[in-house]
Amino acid sequence: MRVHPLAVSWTILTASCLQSPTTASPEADATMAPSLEQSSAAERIGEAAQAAYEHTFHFVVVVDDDGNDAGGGWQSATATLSFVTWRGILPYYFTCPLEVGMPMRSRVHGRISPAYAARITAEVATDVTDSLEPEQDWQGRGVVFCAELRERMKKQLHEAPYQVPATVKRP
Amino acid sequence: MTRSELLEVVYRFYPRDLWVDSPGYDETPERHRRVTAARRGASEYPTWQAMLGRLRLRYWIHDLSLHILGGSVDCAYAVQLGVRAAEAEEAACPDRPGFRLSSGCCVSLLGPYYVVLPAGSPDEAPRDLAREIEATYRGYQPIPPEIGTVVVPDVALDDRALGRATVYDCLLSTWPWLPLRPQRG
Repeated sequence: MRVHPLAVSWTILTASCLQSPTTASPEADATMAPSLEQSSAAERIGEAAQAAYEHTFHFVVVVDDDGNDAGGGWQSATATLSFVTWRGILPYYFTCPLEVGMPMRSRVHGRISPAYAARITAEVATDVTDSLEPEQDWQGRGVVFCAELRERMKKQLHEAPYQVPATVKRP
Repeated sequence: MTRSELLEVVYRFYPRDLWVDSPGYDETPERHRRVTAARRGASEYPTWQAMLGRLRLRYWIHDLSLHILGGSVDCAYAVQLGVRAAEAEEAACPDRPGFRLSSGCCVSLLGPYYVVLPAGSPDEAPRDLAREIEATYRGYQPIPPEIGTVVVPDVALDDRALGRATVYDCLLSTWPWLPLRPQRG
């Protein structure tokens, strides 16, 4: 029994994204901190996977970074990931709504642009889905899958190579 | 503070035997109470911010509660506390402050509880942090690990399956940087 994302490669079939009233400016994306661009996390995966998911997680500014402290600001993206598993010819569809949040600047990375946030979230969503998929028969157990997906995404974002204090919640 | 008292608080804010993605979850009174508590956390944010302002005079800090201001439903404020790293370390990374994570805490929005880590550390920072919390939030108490790590088997969180959430998870945090639960086998 396999879990398939309903479109682009593994993870995400459809993604409906909600935006909070304050939106990050295009300039913010264009001025990604060099330290992040060169990070091992960004280099670790192929460009094809990055491209697929950068369009799924649209990070917007929740609280601006005031430039003080070891880290600051907050940005988040809301998306609904859709999956399907098959038992014979019968499909089982389920969705996992996600709200991923992370600072706009962290002590490890310096500035975290919305584009970088989208890319690492997409990487992690893909990795975690790939790891979860063969573990169990998810037929009829979408709610369990979603809880596991959020827990593992959060954990992976906190660990190397990402090391981002992120939240992964249900919106 | 007893285990049964804390479980009573947990069940006031989390419906039993219901997954967060199950139909009807958002309509439960427990979920409504949690949303109300998070909104109150946002409106009372200035108190938390003032405490961080005092800590900022002595430590590097990273406030990890800003999402609550944005309307996200969470169960606690959280902050990481750091001290200046060694000069050599700082020189190697001149564009960023020499921050070494030394402590952290969560202050619950669901009841008068908090946790400071690392507990039992010889460093001054955790004790200093606990003093500051208790001066700011009168009557708040730390949840000891022997109660905090108790599993609440019939409660699910956004990122915890049924059978996996602990009292700490429900009332304080599921932040991975706070080692509040036994590692998964």
